[in-house]
Amino acid sequence: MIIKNLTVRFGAFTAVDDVTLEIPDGAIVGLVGESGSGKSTLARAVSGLVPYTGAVEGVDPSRVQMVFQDPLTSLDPRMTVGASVAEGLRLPRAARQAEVERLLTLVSLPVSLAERYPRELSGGQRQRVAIARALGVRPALLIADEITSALDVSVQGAVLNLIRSLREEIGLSMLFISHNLAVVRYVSDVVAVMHRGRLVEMGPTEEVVGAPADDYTRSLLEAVPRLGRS
Amino acid sequence: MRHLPRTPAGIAGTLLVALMVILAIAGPLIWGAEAERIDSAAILQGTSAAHPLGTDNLGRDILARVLVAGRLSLALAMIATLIGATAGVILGALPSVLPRRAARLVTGTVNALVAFPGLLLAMFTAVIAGLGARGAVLGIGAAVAPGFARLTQTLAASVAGADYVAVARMLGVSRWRVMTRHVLPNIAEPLILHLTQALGGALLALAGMSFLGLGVQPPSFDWGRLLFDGFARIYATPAVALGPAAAIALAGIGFNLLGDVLARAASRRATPAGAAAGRAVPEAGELGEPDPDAVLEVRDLTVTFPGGVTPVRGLSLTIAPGEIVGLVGESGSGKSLTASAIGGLVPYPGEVSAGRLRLCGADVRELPEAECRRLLGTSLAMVFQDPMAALNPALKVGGQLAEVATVHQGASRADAFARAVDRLEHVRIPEPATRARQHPHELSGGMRQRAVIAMGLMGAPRLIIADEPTTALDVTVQREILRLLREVTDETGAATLFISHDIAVIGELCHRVVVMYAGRVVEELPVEELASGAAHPYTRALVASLPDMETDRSLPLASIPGRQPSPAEVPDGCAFADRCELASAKCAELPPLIPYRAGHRVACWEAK
Repeated sequence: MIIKNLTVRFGAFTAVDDVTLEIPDGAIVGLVGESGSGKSTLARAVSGLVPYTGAVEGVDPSRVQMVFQDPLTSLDPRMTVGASVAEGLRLPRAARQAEVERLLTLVSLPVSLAERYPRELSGGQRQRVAIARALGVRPALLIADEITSALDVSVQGAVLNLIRSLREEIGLSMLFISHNLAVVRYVSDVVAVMHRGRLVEMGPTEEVVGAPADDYTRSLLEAVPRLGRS
Repeated sequence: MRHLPRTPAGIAGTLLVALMVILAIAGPLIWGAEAERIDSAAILQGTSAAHPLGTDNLGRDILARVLVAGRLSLALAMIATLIGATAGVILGALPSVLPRRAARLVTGTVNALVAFPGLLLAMFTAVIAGLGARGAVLGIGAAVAPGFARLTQTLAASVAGADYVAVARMLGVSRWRVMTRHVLPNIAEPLILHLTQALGGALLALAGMSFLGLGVQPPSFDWGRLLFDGFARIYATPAVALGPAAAIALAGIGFNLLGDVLARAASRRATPAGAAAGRAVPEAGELGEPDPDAVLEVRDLTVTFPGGVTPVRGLSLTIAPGEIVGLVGESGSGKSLTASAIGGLVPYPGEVSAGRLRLCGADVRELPEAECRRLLGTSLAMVFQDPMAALNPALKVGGQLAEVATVHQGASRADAFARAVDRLEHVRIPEPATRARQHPHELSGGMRQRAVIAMGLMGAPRLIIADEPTTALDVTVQREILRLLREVTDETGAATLFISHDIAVIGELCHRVVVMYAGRVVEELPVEELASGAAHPYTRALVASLPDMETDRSLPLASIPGRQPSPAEVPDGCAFADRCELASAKCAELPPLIPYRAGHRVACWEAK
């Protein structure tokens, strides 16, 4: 799929400015940028939550799904895990149970969690439920917006591993958004850098991280905190 | 809402409402005949032994009539409230379901109705619908509805902005289903509370309508009607009017008290039920001599909350001048409460106990209050995650900084302001004199955090506590703030306690690292050993699970199964044991924090 000349304006303010970005089938495109760079607005525009000008081609809009930063607010606190995951399924009642079980297994959660409520789960488990729910509609594109920012480091790894295994197992195309370059580098095949609403650099991960062409990308890379670089 | 607080108001409200319900059910069965019995020998009597509240113009006993009238009064009030609530909730929910233009029309209608006086609306409707109970009920229903509509609309709008509603929309769930499955269940609680109070209001309003002759007509009677009949005789025989009046007042008070109590119970978050408090309080063993060189020396610091919640358990920490100590842990590990306890900022009802809490050579708990405030005010600088919380949005930046100098150091206002500008310049805020005359919202996030640091530098800080100071900032800004903190520490010789969940940031800035897990220190090590020399399995797992710019992308990342126990359920033994690969039977016993290598201590039985 390809995002062509996408622009989002809020009044006089241009949040996303003429962004063209290709997401190859079965690839994970990482999108980095600082707060206010327009990366989340781009995600919301592609998901149809925000009006935009330009075009999103090669994907049925109803098959774009998004996973949010904080699973505690993106899961309805009054619905069980099973009910949340089943919500988007277009299946006869009899087949739903089996599909919910398949989805939970796909995100490596025990099937028994279906009866629980979100508050009874850990942050990492909750985020995996949100991913399972998104996978239920067999999305052509999954947008992950800062999905590990609200998680503790010790469970972040499990979610990142899941993202990578989903690409390998079911060939999922993904737009992976994060302010954390190290996380983006770890999961993405292609990295795109946004700054003040514009796309300033894009290329294969190793190239962008190893030999950045843009000054802003370089300053971002410079600023990444590193263990034992004192 | 499961546990109603046992306050006098709560008990009184519950009792009154229960009484009214019993009366409504049993009243007509017991006193029904008595209330209808006409006695021409006892017309218009006052108080007597046979008729405690007197009799009416047909000689019927008024006490019996009051007791019987409860059923009709309550039933009518309930029907009126239900009509109002149903109409109101539908009207309030419509804007979320309808297309935009129709939604705006409904919203406008509700706004207009809310502006209309309730009783006028009720009387207007009653007159149109015809005199009598039906008209009154419809009228009160119409008067109650706008309030419900407005409440529903406001609550629904807040839930409609939630992420889970956005997700449901993306999943293709219809608007109607979003309303019934996601919105209504999540706003039901406040609506039900409002219902209880509206019931009390409807009861009073119905009585008012009957009293005005617009409500229940004879031969039916409710409390309002009885009051209407008795009112003409209030000067001759007051009891005939006071009886129904007292019944109306008691019912109104009962429903309103119950509504209040329910609302308060709902807004109070349930405190987790835990084991008895104090289990983890460490024994005050040998403290040894205080360290004369240390800026901060804490021994056996424990913070407890009611209900057995103990977020900090026997923490000890020493920081020397010029040293930056990093306190790292996941959310819920107790690191921020440790900082609060040192600054004397633990919120009520938390309790702080410590074997020793020395700042700059004096135990802060033994100082007189004024001196303690002065010590904390001038030698302690605190920097928080959200600089907006540390700066008063209504005051100009320079004035807030100057306050430190005028209050604690007795400087004149002009001198204090000049020093504030100087300090702002020192933290490299461009055009400091201009910035000092601006309000906090006119500064960027990074600049605000610099201003907070400058505020700490107004005195001569001996200890700087920075609690997640860069978490809300972008990486490029984070880097500058970290550099500034390091410069400030070098230059003032202050000790710095830097708290963060981000082990990479800690590794870049600090000299020494203290790792917390479930309220306890599990390891304390020099920063050089953090990357590859950590001994505690938790520290090692934390380091391994952090992706950096050199992580091998072909291998899966490490992660720790399970979750950190909550502060109410920390086990007596090693808290990490059930997530640990090395755990053995010995881990049921709490491992002490013991020396491992030079400047390196660890609390683990299995650390090699």
